[in-house]
Amino acid sequence: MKGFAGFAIKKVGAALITIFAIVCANFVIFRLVPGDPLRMMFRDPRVSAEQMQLVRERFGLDKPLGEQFLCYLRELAHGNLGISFWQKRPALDVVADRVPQTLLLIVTALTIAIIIGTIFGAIAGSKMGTRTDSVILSVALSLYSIPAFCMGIILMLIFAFQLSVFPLGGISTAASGFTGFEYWKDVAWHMFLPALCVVFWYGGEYVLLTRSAMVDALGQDYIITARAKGLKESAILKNHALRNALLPVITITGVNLAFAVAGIIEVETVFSWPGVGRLVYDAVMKRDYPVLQAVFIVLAVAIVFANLVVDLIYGYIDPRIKVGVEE
Amino acid sequence: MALLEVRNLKIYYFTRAGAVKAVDDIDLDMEENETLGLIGESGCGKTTAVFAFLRFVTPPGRIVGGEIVFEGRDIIPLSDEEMRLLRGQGIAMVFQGAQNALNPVMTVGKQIAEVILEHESVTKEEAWERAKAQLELVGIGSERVKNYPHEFSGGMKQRVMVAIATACNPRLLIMDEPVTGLDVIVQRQLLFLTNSLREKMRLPIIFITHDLSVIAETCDKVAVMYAGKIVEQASAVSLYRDPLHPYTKGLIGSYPSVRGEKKELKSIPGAPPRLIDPPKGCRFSPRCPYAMDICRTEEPKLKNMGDNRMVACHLIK
Amino acid sequence: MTKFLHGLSSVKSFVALLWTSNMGRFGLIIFAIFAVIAIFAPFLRTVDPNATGSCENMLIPPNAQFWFGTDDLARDIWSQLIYGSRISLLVGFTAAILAVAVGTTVGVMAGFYGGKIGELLMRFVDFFMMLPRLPLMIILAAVLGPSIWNIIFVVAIVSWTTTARVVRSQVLSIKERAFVEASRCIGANDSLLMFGEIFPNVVPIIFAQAVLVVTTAIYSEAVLAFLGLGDPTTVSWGMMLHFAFESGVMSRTPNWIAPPVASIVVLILGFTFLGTAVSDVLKPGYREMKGL
Repeated sequence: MKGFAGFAIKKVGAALITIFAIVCANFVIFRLVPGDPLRMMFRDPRVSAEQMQLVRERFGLDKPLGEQFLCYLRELAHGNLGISFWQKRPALDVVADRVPQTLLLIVTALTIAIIIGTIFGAIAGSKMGTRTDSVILSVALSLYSIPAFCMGIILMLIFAFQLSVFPLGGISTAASGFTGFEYWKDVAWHMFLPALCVVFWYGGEYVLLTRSAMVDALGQDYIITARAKGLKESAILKNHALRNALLPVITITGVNLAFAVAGIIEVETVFSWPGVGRLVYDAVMKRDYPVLQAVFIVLAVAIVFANLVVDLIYGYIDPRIKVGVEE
Repeated sequence: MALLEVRNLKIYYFTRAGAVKAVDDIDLDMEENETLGLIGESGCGKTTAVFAFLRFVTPPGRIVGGEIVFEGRDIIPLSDEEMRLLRGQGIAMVFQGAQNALNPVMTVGKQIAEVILEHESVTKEEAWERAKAQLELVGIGSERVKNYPHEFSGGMKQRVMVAIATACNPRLLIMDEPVTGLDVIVQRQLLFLTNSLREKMRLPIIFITHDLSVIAETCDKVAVMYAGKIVEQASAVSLYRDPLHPYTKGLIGSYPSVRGEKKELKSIPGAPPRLIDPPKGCRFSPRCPYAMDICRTEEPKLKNMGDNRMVACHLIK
Repeated sequence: MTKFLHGLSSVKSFVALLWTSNMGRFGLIIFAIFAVIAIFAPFLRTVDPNATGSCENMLIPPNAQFWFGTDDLARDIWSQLIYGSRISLLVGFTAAILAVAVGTTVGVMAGFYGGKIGELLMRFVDFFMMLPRLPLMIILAAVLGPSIWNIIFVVAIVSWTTTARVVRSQVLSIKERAFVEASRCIGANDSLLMFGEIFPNVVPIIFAQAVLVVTTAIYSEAVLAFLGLGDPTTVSWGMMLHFAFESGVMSRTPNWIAPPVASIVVLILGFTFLGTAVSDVLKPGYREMKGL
């Protein structure tokens, strides 16, 4: 199959296979636990043997592993990822409740980070070797390598504790009764520091990526052709160098999403932002395994899906794939 | 007034190991409506020289001396902006057929149109129409104007390069090894195109190659370069019929002839000298079968032999 | 045997090469400082970092006796800080060694055997790389329980994949060269020859990877500890932050928070710069550029 359609089908197929593999891995990890999984769930020694047996039968844990696996798959297909120990309701619901807040934070922060990162990366790349480049490079490298939670704590120390400019955490001021515009202003104020954290580290990474892609692009022959045409330098940088540099940057965005998740977990935990990341921390604290499992699946699938979207976007933008190669 | 006059041009590359004298004091002349061929082995400095005509000398290289007078104006002291305006419109260049010489994410039409839009004040529509016309001119159908470079074969990509280079009717076209690496049939088509452009547009061309047969087909005048120096300059016909410099003789002799008796292929023994430390005297002397003592001590100057022939050799009086 | 020693000396010259770059120098110095602190911890005016104390000694701001004050269980923060360096470096290096060992084994096998086995191994690696790291570490750590060896294991498990990839491609390129030579030898024992050729050429790459993995390992330990999954019997910087967070008095005790955060940041920055120096130094043409 030619062109974009063939490319898309291949990518979607790969994504589906990966998702299935993740689902299996999830099953394996939780069965890996040394010792009786049930003992782990019910640490209270007062639970009697009969009660344990009842639960065992109920959860099908006395059946052979193969049957358990099929049971697991069946439940999964119905969207049943277990019941949260802590909240006594479907784990999937618990996760779903937190998704909007995370999306709000991610979408805002990543958009800003990508724009700023690309601009500075392009500047640094076009001025490679100069002082501007060294400065941008060092700053970006530092911001990117500082762990997100450390950055969060530092920001908190400075702005929330010492200077009291921003709130200590949460998504809105408790019991404030704000509505409408007032509410969203409050949310934005709360979101500033966590978003800044994400922008620092993700933007830093983008500066590095764009810069190296720019440097590569500027070394290509078509740049010489463009210069020989007598085009303005700004036109060359924008239309010839940057346009080509963005392609590998887009590809890597997909790959990087898995790392982005780590940062979100850290930032949300530090700032008590009620999103999926913070849920991981809460679930760990409360040893709520069904929720942990649910989060893992949701995150992994989300990453695969996001990767797929990025791949498809790339396939559409790169004319070599979109139009196919013909002679 | 000659179109292009190069005098005492020196371009050196300053490396840690020393200064590589890539182009060492060359003179060139070119009239309007002339095709000048520049021939020499790889590394003899011909590409460096013509890149200098577009002021494309990048560090660690530097123009250390001489002048390049184009249309009566020395372009070496020009500002970057003035030079930029000259490129593409006064002097244009077609590069060696590299796979990557065209921007892969831009349509060929746009790549042609952007030259026009930069140098002439026309509307986008007019530029686009001109782009289509350029494609027709080089023998590619104008319906391909929205195609991307990867949809063309190597030979057609070179034609697109020609279309781009001639889009603004430049007064001088430089072609750097334009047919190297293409198969002979495609070569022939491209050379045919070059010749027809030459006649139709009365376009002066500097043609660089290491292939003698190509020079024979396209050039009026030929300059032979060796180790950063011009060793002979003559009309193409005279050069073939009666080469004077031993290097030229060696070059011509090393080409097999389709007709004529079967002879053993004569190659020139040895290798070109390292340009950091060129040999004293004539640079060709280590390899020259007729070298005399004076050749190893004194550098021969280009002498005018009359009838528009110049040679730099002690043998020729 | 001589080839083995040859491999080791190339490590020494590698370190010397790193010293020539600014970033490398910075990284090596930071590493040296923290290593010294970790080794000489007992001599740096410290007490047992885990020793809790009496109520009146809780949450004391910095004074002459407790240089950074005490935490909510009256433990000396300065001591925790000094001894914490041991945890970071220990976990960092051990996990890195483990990860690099696994990665190298997989990479060498995939490259050496090639064919179906190689393909299968690489698919496995690819899949592993797609799993989100932190969530995976969190789940494994939660499931396996809080002990320092579990932490090391968990960190190693998510860090071995890049090494596998890199080593495999290096082995593949060596294979090309080695077979040409082998064909010239008469009846030479193939596998011995391969190991003789492979090892000294792979060692610098392994070393380079190790540096990069150590950075990730130190960071991973800090994050896991911060999220409460560390070993409570061995106080690391991440755990200090975790306790500070959980205590609820965070806003009033910058002396508790600033030192561990600063330490984590400096150590990681040092290793990151070292890692950048490593990849710079390995690029072809580095020596020429520096005029070596």
